Amino acid sequence: MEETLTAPVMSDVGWSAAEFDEIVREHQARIYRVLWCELRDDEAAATLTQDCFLKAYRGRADFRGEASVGTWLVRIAVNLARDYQRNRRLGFWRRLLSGNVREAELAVQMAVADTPGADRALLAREQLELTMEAVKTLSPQQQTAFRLRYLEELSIEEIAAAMSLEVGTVKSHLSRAVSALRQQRNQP
Amino acid sequence: MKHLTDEQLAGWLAGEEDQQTGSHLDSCPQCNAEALELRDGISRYAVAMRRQSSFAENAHMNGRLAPRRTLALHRLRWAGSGALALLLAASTAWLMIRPPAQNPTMQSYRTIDPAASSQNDANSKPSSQLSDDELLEAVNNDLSREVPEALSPVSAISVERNKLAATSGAATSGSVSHTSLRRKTNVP
Repeated sequence: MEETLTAPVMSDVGWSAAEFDEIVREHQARIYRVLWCELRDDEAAATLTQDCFLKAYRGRADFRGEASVGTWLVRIAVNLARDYQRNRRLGFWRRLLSGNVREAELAVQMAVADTPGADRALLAREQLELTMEAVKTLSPQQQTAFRLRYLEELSIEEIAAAMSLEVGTVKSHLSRAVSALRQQRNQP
Repeated sequence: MKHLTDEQLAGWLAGEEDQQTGSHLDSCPQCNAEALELRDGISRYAVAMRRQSSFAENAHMNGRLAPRRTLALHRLRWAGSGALALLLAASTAWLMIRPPAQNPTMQSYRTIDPAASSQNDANSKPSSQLSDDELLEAVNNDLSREVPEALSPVSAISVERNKLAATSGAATSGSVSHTSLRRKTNVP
């Protein structure tokens, strides 16, 4: 019989099915976002979001409560994304042909859509494009740390726990990101 | 004045409280402007990514939960397009493989040219099977004729006239009277 997330089973850590449903509801959007930002693939992000919760449910006994549930889920999601990228064949060509330009343009349009005034919208657009270009120059791990900090607003300690890194390494990644942003900004 | 390092700026952007950094930002307009600009760019990036991933998630969910009627219409549209494409392909194929239409010019070449007709009689193919090479040959034969078809009777007359001139050439010193020529040509 196929195991479902809503199976009425009392977990070892005290989560009832209803509680786990609540966890899914609360964190689903964030986990999807983390995965989507890592992969830029709607289908893969949706599939891995389900996998993430399934993995969390199956591994609920391993959750010791040292970090928050959200951080624990983000950690699972980051690992799933990493495995997926590692296993994805022809990933380079897929990324190359997947229309990143269109995605970037769409993101820019969506972000500046509600900026009033042509001048301010133009400035917002430039700022956003600079940031996107700077993020592209970072390594995958640096990008993940940057997004977990500024998109998901995780603390440095939470990022370290989610990415299985030292706090100092996370700080170094964020510092490198700021350096890239500064370089991009100061380019003629 | 020494400006902020990447680490200090990254710490400030990450929300770390640092009195030295704070006081420098208060007193240095250049670092202050840079820090605010980077912060704005990062927050716009975060907004853009959140919106885009939310958009992707909604689109994915809508696609998955599309009502049956919409799906049926979608399939119907695809089926219609497929049928139209098949029809176009079939008509194109028919145009390409159908026998060439019988051209009256070709027919005239076959019937007028006795040389060509004598050649073709040996092969005696129906006109619908006349190949391009055969047609070209017929045209060439017609063009290379010394005397066009319409002037064949005149040619016969001149042959007869030459014969007559040869036989009576000695008596009349090589000249042929117009009267004799006219008489000869009037013979049925």
